[in-house]
Amino acid sequence: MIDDAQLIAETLAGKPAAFGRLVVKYQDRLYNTVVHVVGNEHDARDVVQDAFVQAFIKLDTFRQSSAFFTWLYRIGFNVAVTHRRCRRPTLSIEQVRDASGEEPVDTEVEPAERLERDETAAQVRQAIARLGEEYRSVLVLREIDGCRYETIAKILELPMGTVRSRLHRARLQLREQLKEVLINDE
Amino acid sequence: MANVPENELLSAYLDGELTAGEQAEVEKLLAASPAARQLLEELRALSTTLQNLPAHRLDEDISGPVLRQAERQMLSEPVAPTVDLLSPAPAATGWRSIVRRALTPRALVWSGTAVAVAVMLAITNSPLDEPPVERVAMAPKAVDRSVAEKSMATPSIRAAAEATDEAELREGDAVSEMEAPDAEAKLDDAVAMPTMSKAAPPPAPKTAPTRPPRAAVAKKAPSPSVVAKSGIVRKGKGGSSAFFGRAGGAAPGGQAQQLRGTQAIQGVLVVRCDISPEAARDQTFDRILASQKITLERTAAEANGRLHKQRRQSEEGKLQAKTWQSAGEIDLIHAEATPVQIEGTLAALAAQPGAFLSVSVEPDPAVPAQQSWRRYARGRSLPAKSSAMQAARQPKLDAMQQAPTAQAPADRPATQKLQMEIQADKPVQAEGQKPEKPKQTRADGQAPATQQKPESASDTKQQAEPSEEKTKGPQREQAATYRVLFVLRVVGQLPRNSLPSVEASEKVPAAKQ
Repeated sequence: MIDDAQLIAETLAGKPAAFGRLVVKYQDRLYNTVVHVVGNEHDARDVVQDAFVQAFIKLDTFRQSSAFFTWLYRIGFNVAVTHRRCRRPTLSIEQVRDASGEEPVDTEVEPAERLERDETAAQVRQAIARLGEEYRSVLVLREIDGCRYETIAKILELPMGTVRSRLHRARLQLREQLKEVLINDE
Repeated sequence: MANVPENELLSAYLDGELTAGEQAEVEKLLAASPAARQLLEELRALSTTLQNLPAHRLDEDISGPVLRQAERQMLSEPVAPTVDLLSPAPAATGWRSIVRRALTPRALVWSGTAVAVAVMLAITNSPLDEPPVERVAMAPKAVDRSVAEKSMATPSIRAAAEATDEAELREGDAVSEMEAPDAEAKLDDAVAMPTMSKAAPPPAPKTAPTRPPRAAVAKKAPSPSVVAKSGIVRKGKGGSSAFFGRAGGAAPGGQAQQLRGTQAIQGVLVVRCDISPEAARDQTFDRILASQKITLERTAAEANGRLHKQRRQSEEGKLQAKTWQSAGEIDLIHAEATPVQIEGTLAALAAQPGAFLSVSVEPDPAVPAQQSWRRYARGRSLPAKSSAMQAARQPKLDAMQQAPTAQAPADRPATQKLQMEIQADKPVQAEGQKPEKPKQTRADGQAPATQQKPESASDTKQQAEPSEEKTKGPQREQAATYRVLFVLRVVGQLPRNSLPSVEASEKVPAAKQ
């Protein structure tokens, strides 16, 4: 598999198709993160596309001192923040559920269990959406995308200590919102 | 140690992001505090819940839309970014970064695309940025100043001048290398590129002949609408270099540069002919153009589709007739002519089926008056133009509909105007007629001598002779002028011993006279 650096070099050499491979490689990962940041799938798709477009346009400024996806996430989060500032949606559980679309169907679970799982997922997403922007980004990058603190710090351009404290506060806030859900899960 | 709920080390402990010392500290807390253990378990459960959320996936590959959107943005703003998306606050962009980005291969690719789009849009209505030097087919008195200079120069100077020309040709080749794989596409490119490239470069100030950055060319290229509204026709400084769309800069003949007065250039007519080897040898087509006193510029396309500037002038620079070298060779002749001149030329072509084996007439869709010339088409001629070229004419149509040319009365339909012009015109000349003495005549009937300062004795002579007749040019010629692209191709074998030398071909019109 061709690594990111080679695809970037080919893109900069005038082969846009190489960037297309980068898009395919990272689009779902970025989308799954962004959808929790912006709160709905439609906006998330726009944000992801814009992020890739801006990454393509500014690719020659990428110094490769960090991973491409880190740099891409920085763009994506800035685009998402801009997008959210423009929209500032107020979401209900129903809106979150509607906006999230159909969840992947697990055919091995009973319908009742699936419904309960879907409801839980919707509640969790709503709780995430209620977090402050600075907490939500850190939490999503850590819990949804699995980024390490150092990566989160690079993406959000924050000190490591700030990442750690914001993540802890985000978790505490979320724990308060989801107390019932967590108790039921247990 | 901080209060248990406020202790962020618990989260970091959960994530495995602690140093050895911090980890030992947290383990000590957990051993001593049930509340800490409770909080840790709750945080772990929360983390598990979050990580078990169903993953969202895009149901489509967005690489295509991404690249298309990026293309649009880069075409609209090929170099300078407006917003630094890596930082929430706008960041200053220095000229170094702009230059650096403009010179990257990727930027050049997109800029090249932008240039191609710009020239395609401007294909049919592009006034040139360089002032004209008039030429007349087979004109014995017409002197190409640059050639004359070269002929008078020492061999070393001449070689240097030719080397410069070759560099210019390579530049043109770089443009024309966007050629299609098959021969017909190559021909279409050969037809399209010279005309297209005229509108691309902006005029460079004489005092600053530096070429604009490549990436900036597309932004500076005049839009088709602007071109159509200008009503000003400018031609290249001579030869076919103008076909390659270079920035004019300070031409060698600085004083020779002149700006043609406002006149109505309406539409581009493309005429394609298959000509016989005998007609090629006898330069029959050049004689027809000379008989019609059509001003022309010329570019040749080799069999591989590339455009090349040809030096066909004699040492005295008196002749611009094409010397054919091989069968299948393509000759492109760019001319500006009045409807009467075009009519005469087409009639002459029709009158000589043995010389002109087939004729294809492709009027500009935007000019109804040209449609009647389709009647002169016959036989199977060169391949039809590409759809891209046809499409490129649409902006011209739109622009013309919005902006009538300067001298075309808005209240008079073009067809009516053309009919009046034809009725007022003299009979069409055809094959066998004695060609008139070629004159350096402007299509609008105005004498170049009134606008162009003579630069040499030969210039003075050539301008002085026809000036009286030219100033008496019929008023009808001032009404409309069309740009015509003649595409000639030799069909059949050209015997080597039948190729005329430049000197021999020069004598042909004289003998006829």
